[in-house]
Amino acid sequence: MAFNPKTACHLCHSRKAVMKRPKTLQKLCKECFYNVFETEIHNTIISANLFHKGERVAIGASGGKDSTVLAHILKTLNERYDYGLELVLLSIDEGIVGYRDDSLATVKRNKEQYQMPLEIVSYKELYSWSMDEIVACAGIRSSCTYCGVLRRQALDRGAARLGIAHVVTGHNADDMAETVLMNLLRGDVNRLESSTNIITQSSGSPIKRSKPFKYTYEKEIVLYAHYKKLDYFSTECTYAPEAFRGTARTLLKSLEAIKPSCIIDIIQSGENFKLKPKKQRKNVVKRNTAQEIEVRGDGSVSLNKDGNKCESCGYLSTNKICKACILLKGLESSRAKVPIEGGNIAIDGAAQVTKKLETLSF
Amino acid sequence: MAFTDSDATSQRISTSQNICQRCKNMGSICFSRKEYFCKDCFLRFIRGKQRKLMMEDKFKVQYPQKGVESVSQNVMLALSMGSSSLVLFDILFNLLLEQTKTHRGRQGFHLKVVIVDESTLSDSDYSVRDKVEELKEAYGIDHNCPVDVSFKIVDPNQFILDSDQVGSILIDNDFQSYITGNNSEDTKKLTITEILDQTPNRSSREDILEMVIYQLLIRTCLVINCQTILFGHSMTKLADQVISLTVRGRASLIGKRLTDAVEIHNGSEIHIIHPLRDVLKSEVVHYSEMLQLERFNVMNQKKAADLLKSKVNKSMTVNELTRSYFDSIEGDYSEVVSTVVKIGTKLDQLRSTEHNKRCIVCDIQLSSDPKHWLENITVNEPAPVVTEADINNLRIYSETCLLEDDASKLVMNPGSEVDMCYACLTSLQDIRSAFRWPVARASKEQILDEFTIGDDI
Ligand SMILES: [Zn+2]
Ligand SMILES: [Zn+2]
Ligand SMILES: [Zn+2]
Ligand SMILES: [Zn+2]
Repeated sequence: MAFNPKTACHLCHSRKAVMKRPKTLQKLCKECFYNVFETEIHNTIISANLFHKGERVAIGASGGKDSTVLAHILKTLNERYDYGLELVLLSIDEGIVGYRDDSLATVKRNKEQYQMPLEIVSYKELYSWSMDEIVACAGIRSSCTYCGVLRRQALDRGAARLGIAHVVTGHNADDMAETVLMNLLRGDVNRLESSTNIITQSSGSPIKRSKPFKYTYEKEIVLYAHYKKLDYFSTECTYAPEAFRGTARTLLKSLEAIKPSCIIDIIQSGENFKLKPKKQRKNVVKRNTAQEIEVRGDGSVSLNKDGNKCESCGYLSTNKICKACILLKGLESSRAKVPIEGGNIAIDGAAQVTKKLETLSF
Repeated sequence: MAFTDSDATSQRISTSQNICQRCKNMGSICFSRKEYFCKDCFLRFIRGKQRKLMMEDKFKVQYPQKGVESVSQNVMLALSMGSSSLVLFDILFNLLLEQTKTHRGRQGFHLKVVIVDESTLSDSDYSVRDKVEELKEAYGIDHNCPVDVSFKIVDPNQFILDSDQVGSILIDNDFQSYITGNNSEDTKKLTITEILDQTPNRSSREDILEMVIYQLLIRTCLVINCQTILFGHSMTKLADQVISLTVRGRASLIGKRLTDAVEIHNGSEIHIIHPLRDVLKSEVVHYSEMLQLERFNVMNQKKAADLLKSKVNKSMTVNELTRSYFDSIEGDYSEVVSTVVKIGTKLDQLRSTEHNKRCIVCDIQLSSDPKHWLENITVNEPAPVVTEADINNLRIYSETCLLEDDASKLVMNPGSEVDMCYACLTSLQDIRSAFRWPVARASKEQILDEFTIGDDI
């Protein structure tokens, strides 16, 4: 086939361009796309100092495109740049019939494909509630709030069980940008400055979390998985996101359509948010007894030391009762009422818990 | 308690039977923030919002101290001829009128109204000049008006005339920008319309135009010797701006655009105030309807002209999308506007780390190194060309002279390095050829100095 310079890749000028890169709209050949995609993630890892040699790292694997590509990329980069990492797949079984069964099958295949050990922890075994049971009790409206809290703790517990202190997740640039917008729209002062942090660690928790895809476009992850023929599960979670977050997501998609750079533009903005110095905040910490608790500005309650344990489940928590327990207690009390009083009160009870949870800082 | 636009509009129809809750005397003609108002009480209520945000002594009437007449300051109003700035004009005019009446001809400050005439940027036939004349006529200005207020209409092309050089800006694959100089004859010929026509899409155009107008206002403020600029943005408009600036990668401007800020330009301090920050868009509309201010509004003609201009590219701009987003969620999440403005006012102005580095395009002070940031996360290196066939293709490619893109132009004439902020960099990096841009007078010497070094390759 004759070479036509007009259809050549924008970067190598030698191979035929086969795709338009979503982030820049450059026309690229497959090889150059792989190169920029992988190198950008490597650059992110290096400049944020994400890993150290010999570190054991758990990949939060859902079987979806983000975490499947993450597993593939980390394996590739680990070998190419000799990170010296020991990679493990860590999966959560939320107990969503249909959705999770198929995606877990994918993760199990990934285990063989990438030659990585796999650990699965389920909501049912951790909390004695499956997600389907929670939705049946609390209603579908708040499912994502529940799931978010429970998954976070489940990943931590799974990692702890493996003796691993670092979990990487497949959160991508689109997720980041969406979070920045959400924090503005919800007026979340407590999270605004940290919404774009690549590494997060709740105080008191020994588990560090990081997001190597922080600057990676969702569309490029899809394209990469497609061209590399990666085996992933493409169905979205049965339980749709909370409605308000949905509006922010729609806004972001329309913005991306007119200005592809807007996703990293928003992240750039997010990294530059700086709050004015706080006026002398009312200090409510009492020092007479060790048991006194501090009421934070946002209304949440915390013990005054790091490394405290939830009084209910014994898991590490800065709050007296961990968020998962607060949430589950609400469910238990509403489940107790179900047989006698019908569904409505149960939903109200759960909604109250959800409201309570929303005021806590996760 | 946060009030919202929907609180104000929901019961507009059924208000006539109700008595004003403020004076408990007149029949109400509008409903806002869960309260019924008669016309006078509503106007007073909105004017009170402005006064609360302009409490400083410098806006109050000063009497001579020990026989020495104090100098009252000049305050500039940036009048866009849209509803909210017209409302602010009315409020300020009435404030000054009241001051002259109660203080025997004295007023707290001299009001200088500045209008940047954007109608010159489109082929449309609406005239800002005529509207300004109508406005002056309606307020009796020029007819022994007791209030000291002056008007100045600025042609956007003044932005180019203020500079004496037009440069060509190029951005290379590593996000470094360069400028090469042109002779000064060029300066007089280039127009703002031509500058804007270079932008790759409507959003970039909007972004660059906003920056041009803002810079023009700052420069005009200094020229007419004002120490303060007042903007008429309502709370609703400011919420739009928080999101829009965030989306455009200009978060560092949010602090400045929402709260009282100090702009330092050429060593002079300019105080920026948004007196209608606590006024909702729906309240602006009520106010405007009560006093029939809409007849001076040129925004609808401007929007029509903008759309006409963009018949090729009908896609919405960032500002338009943000506006329609707020419109679409107002019903279900009515407190979002005030929430967004509230968090916006908590944002700090960025402290500059790179001293005195300013963006060649929008003139904002750089707080970080956008080039390095972008370079790290947007790689432009090809995968190695290895096979014989590909190496051959590369040869064919370079022989067919397709290499006339930015990079090769740079090789031939690199110009000198300049600084550009993140947002301008991303707005302009898609441009295939050089971006012509007037170089500000202030940095002329520095630019000329650099030109003489970088040319020899
Ligand atoms: Zn290529
Ligand atoms: Zn617990
Ligand atoms: Zn009244
Ligand atoms: Zn700029």
